Amino acid sequence: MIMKNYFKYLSALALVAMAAMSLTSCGEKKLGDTIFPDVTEEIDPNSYTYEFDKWLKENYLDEYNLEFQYRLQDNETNMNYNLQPATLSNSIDLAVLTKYMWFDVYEEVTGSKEFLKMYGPRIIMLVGSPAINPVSRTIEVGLAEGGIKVTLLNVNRLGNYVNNPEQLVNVLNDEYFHTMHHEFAHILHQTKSIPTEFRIISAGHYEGMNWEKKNAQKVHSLGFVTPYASSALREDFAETIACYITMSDAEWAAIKDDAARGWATNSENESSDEWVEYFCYYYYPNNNPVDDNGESTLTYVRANLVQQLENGTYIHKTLRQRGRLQNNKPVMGEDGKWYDLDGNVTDANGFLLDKDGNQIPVVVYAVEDEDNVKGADVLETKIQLCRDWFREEWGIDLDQLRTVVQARIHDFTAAKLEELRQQVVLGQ
Amino acid sequence: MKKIFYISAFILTLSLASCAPSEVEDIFDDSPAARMDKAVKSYTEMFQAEGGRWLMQYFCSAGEPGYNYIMTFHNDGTVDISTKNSQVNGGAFITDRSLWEVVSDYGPVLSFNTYNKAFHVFSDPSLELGTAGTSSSTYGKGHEGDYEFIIVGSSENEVKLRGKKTAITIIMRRLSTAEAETDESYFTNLTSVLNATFNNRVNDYVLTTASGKRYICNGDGGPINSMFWSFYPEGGSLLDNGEHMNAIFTTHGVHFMEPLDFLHEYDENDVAAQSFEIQPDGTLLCTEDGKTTIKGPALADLFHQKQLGWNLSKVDGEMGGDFLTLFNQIVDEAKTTKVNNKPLNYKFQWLQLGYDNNKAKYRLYFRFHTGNNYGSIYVNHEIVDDHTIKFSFDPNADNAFDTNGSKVYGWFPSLRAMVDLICTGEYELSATNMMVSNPMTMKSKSNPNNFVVLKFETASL
Repeated sequence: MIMKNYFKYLSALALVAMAAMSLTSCGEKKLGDTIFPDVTEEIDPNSYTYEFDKWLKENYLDEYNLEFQYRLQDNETNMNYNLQPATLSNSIDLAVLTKYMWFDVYEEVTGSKEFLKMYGPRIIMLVGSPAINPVSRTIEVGLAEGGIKVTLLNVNRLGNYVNNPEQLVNVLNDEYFHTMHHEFAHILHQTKSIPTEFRIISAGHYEGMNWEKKNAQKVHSLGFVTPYASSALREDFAETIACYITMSDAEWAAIKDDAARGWATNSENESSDEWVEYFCYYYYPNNNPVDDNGESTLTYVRANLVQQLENGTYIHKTLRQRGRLQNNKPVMGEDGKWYDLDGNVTDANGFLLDKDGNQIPVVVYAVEDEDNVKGADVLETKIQLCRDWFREEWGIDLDQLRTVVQARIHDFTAAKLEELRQQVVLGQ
Repeated sequence: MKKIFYISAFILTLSLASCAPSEVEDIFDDSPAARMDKAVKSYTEMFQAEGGRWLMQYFCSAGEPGYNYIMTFHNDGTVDISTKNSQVNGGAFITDRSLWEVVSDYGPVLSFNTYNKAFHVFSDPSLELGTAGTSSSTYGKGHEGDYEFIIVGSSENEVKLRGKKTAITIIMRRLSTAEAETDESYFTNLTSVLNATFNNRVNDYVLTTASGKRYICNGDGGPINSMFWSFYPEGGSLLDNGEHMNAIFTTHGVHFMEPLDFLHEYDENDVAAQSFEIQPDGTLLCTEDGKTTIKGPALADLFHQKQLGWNLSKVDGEMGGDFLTLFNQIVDEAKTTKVNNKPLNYKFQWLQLGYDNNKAKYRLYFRFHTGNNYGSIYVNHEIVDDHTIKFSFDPNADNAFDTNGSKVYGWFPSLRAMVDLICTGEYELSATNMMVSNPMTMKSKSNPNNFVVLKFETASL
């Protein structure tokens, strides 16, 4: 029994020893620190782009934990699109402009870099060409993905304008600054959702298809800042914020003016491929709603040809009322004056004259607003909702943000761009 | 007890098995990531080495010919890219500098990741090559060419790439200064070599496989030097048996975008040829089997082609024997022969053999300056074999002359003798360049001293 027990203990000891051996025998090979190559980003001082890469590291990576990708790798893009890389010079321009017109703006408004460090994108990628949908022929100039990545496209177009100071600011504003703030609005609402009131205010008016064929003034009257805003709720939200921030007071006033009007079109099929023009005024030639055959003489007129008088009525700025003429000519009376066929006094060209001898103008009428949307009110409500959302969710004053952006746009010149460029001088 | 024994045996087996060296460790020393890193470094060094100058044979799609690019890779991350092709800069030579990298992606990838105006036109989506609103419109697509290339293989001086989107195989080979002193001189030379290899006025070339099968090759909808090729078996037709392939022309020869699989499909003894190298006689020899050739048509066939006219060259050394004697006599007689007691004082300018489309007959065509200009004497022409032709003439046949031809044939005995010379016996044709076959020499088989060099007629003689 003892013997048996002794053997049992011996066997158990051997078992433990073998188990220990089996567990330790694999540990002889010493593994390195990591199976991956050293990923520490060392910028090669011999690289042609050393100064630029260093600037990007110091101004984006170190400050905002953001990788600014200007070297295009198509696995980072939607492979369904055919895209071109950006030029190095355009990339440098856009890198300094992005900082000046986006990151520095938020720093100025919030008083620190923390806001964008916390909520800003982790990646900004530049693409030289736009992304073009071959079927709809629509152009994508920006993209925000998953709250972490912003893609700025059509960067090479910048090169067409950098030496053209007159167009530079408008192009920068319309095509790049607007895009930056639009895409950042996406990033923000991908983090904190769009307010419920905003979600319902234009519900039923969004159309994902054919937005590119819509008339801007017509969509203003429906309470959208741009045709693209009318395509989807999220685009409406981002466009409203981006337009409000980047558009001047005069541009906003024009949008609200459009939004308060009714619109009529020259086409029965508004979504046709043919040119569809919209008008917010009409007039009747000779101020008669019907012609001799009883047919309507209603004719639409462009807004810029209409003048509103102090009494609130409108006149056509160029057309004057013509009398009923024979062979397009008035008849000379025995008194040496010109008359139309109805005996009204005209000038030599047949335009009707009032008792003082002045041409009688064509009276113009505003198109009745029949869309059941009070566009100006909707726009104002949307702006207010965005203001509230920025303040409540992010602690940012949207109007202050707009003021800073507007000031930077207003003061922006080719010289300013040159000054910004001086931060990055290659080959030093 | 038995239980303890079995457990002990199991653990012992386990411990021994766990000590066995891994098979994976036997194959690779490093992790996949580390190996990728090494590959990227190695390829980067390879591209930069020996001056870093390479020729890329670029294809953007099956719908376009290949385009040559010279790329000089610098170790500061820049690359100079040069080209001269129809799609860029209005066809004029252009060079531009941008950035390059070998990056880890689908394996090591050569990426031209900033815009280069000489190169990235092929990935411009806004380029509308067709008609807007039709299926031919390329708006949104452009050429659909790649600018990132997976490196699939390499030797010391050649790299095989695959376009990342198109999956088209693209070859790069190292370019030495000896081959091209400057980028621009390469393209100037390329044009010269192209013109020396193909002639737009030659309709059909002949591809002959190792097994002897012959295929007629010509330009697919344009001249063959536009590098759109079509093929059909000799005796067949393009409509019934046609095959098509785009190609690139380099100073070395012709490289098709893909192997000509149909050659192998028609006869399994033949290879699916892809690359053809220019030989000293101008013909093209397949580099894959060293046997398949592309040559110009047989000289006798070429001579017979109706779209061509051949000038009898009077340049020193290019006309000999009775040809030279008679030519000089015609010159003299044209000056001195009197008609109506007045010397004609004609200046004999040239003789040409060629087809008259209006009369649908072969003719000896000539020009005398001052007085009557052009005239034709219509001869019969016969192909004896691939290199031999013969002519005959019957002055009494209907339509043997046009008006001027009839006059000068009557006036100048030496011209009559020239016609007799041409129309007597057989003539052997030879050429040093068997692709363009221009010039070729026509030599009398019965008297080799009688020869004349024939050249394509040109607008101004």
